[in-house]
Amino acid sequence: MLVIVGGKGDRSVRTMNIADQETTYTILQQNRQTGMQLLYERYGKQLYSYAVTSWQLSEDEAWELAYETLLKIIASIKQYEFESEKKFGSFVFTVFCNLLRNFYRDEKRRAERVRFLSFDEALFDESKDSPSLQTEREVQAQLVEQFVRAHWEEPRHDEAKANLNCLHTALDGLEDWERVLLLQRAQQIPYAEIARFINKPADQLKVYHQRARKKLLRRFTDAHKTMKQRANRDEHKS
Amino acid sequence: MNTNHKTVDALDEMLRLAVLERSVTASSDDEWVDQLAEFVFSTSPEVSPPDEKRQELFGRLQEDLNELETFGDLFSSALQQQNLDLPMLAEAIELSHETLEQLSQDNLFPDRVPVLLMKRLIEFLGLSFGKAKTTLQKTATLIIENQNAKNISSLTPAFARRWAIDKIGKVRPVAIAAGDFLDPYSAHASLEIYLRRLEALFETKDLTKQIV
Repeated sequence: MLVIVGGKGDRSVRTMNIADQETTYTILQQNRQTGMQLLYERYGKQLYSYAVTSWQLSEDEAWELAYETLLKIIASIKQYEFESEKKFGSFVFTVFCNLLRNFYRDEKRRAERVRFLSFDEALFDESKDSPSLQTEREVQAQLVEQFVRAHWEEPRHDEAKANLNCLHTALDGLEDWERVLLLQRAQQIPYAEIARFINKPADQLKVYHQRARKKLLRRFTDAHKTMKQRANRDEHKS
Repeated sequence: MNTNHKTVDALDEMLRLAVLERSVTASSDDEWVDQLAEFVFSTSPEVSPPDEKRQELFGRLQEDLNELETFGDLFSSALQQQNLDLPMLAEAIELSHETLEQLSQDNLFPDRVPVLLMKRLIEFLGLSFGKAKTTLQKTATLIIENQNAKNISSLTPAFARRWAIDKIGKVRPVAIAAGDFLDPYSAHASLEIYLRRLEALFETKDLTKQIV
């Protein structure tokens, strides 16, 4: 990878050839200037694009988040040891998610940007012909809306935390590929890209995705029901 | 009314929130986060930032990082700029290679280096006392903040003494045992005394120059 060292106001502009196998964190620890450029090339650009396409942030917002992520990593690089570039990548991603989470929690900013679309019934056509299924779908829809609203309003509140636990239980109960498919699709990642990762034919993924959504909703509703029953029992005992 | 609203599917929003929460709270061996990170970083970016922003970013990063610069950063960049290596420096300064390496990595509390040798090092690298002082303070803060998270080896003595004020107000060396470490308050206080001694040494040198 060619990394440009120097630039505006710096007469010593030159390029350095960094071998792909050289780890970003080693270079960053040894030479901040070169490491900084490499970090941007390998991770910064992707984070910017990811924030715009998957999280619908404006270009300025995405740029600020990418910038803050790079700054935090460069400033704290000496405090960490990494076993591989992959683990370093996970670290970069976690730092970014932390900043994104804080940004996302700003309800006002969010309300300006996103209009809440309630549960998409069109995805469950078969429920129109079956009243019991329709009721089940409505319950699921309500739960999902409650989840999102509780999380938007007060993510640290007990209800939001309990909901999140139910969701994690439901997600952990899925096959690995189903979970990856759901999480990545929720971030607007095209089926063709996801197919590379889960070894499934891209043209089948839309169908698999709908099935996985239904499976997740069923598991989430069950986990929620169990949680409520347990809470009621505990309340009754006390 | 804002017409730039984006609509989001409720279930997808729920999953996005799950991604954020899990990414932040996951342990380092959580495959979930590794998978997502690998995916994000192995995909070619769909949107690229404008070219002019790139240079602006590096300029801004450099400025902000200067504010956060530690002695280790300053030391490492001085080594690079002057094409020096640690064995060469160890010989010139009479500090061990290991100590210099720890200093360059901000792994050694500054007052664990004898003050005369620190002065010699700062001069050899062509650094000003003011810059060295600011960065040494940042290194100390960094080490204190990290001592619980990492380990306390950075606070164990490279030399078996540190400086402290005795009962009659005199600055004296105090012996410390291997494995000993300082609480944040004492560490900062000890560093302040150390920096005052260092400053006095630099001032003495300046005074000598004036007299000559």
